[in-house]
Amino acid sequence: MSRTPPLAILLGLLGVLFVAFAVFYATTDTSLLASAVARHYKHAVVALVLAVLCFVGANFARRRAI
Amino acid sequence: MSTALVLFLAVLQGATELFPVSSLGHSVVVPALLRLDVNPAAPSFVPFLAFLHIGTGLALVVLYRDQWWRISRGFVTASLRGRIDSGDERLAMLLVVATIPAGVVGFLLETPLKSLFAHPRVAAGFLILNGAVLASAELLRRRAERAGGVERPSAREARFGTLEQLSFVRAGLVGFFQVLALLPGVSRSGVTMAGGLVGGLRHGEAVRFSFLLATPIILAAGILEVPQLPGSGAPFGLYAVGAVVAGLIAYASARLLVKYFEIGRLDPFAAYCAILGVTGLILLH
Repeated sequence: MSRTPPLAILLGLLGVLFVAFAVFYATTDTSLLASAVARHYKHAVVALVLAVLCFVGANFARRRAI
Repeated sequence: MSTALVLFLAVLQGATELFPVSSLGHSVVVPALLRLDVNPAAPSFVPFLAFLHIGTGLALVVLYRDQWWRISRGFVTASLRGRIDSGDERLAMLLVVATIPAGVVGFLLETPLKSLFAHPRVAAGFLILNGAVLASAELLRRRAERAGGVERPSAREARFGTLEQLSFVRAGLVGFFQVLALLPGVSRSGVTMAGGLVGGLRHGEAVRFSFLLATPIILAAGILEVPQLPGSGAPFGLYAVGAVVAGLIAYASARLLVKYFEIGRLDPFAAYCAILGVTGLILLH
């Protein structure tokens, strides 16, 4: 049985974190990493794109180890 | 802004976006030089320019529509498989790698970068920097050419690489060059072409990579910025016409540039940027 490499796990966790950020920014009024207290849809979109890239990277890292 | 001014800025943006001379620099410096009623510090200015950029981005999608179809399919198949098996998949991943640096830096430094738009003299200074980057890239290219002996332009170009031969490290290098383009006055197409030349690409291939690379970041900037326009009371319909005008002119200029760079160099654009930048520094207060 092959083990999932640490890089793939790390990227997968980062992806989940970015999805959580995307949901947070799209549903909550916040000034976290932003200029004013508001819903920051732009931040949500960027977080979602980064999440997709992390999952793609994780898939590549996982396949490379097989 | 009046209708004439919007159309003037649309023509200016469309004509200068893909030429390696910085459309943002022109949008800040030229109105200031001509004493036009444009306030680059206004909150709606950057979203307006981003709207015009959507036209330019769509022009590039149309120009490279066949390639974009294959690249999009390549991205999906390689992502799902976790492995690169074809040239289209590799090109898709090269574009992802080269887009990340400017995407991340642009997002993190959005506010300080936007504040630079209020200073035409700063943009004029960055135009000179842009000219220096273009001239330096050609200087390095000439040095590499001399090492291989003097040849006809077509044979000279053939000794350098194609996009299919570009390594991921060198694609990342081009991506870091693109970070410079976040400064108003530094041309995105210019610095990525320069990065491509430094990375060993032929002029024509550096242009193709530059235009492909520009497309996602231009469209993303437009999609992220334009939603700010409706609340600002901006004339949305007029701006949409401006985006169409910018797109048509960008399409024509892209075709012209692709033809020019079959044997042409960046030198004339470097000289132009230097002259406009110095003029701006002298005349603007």
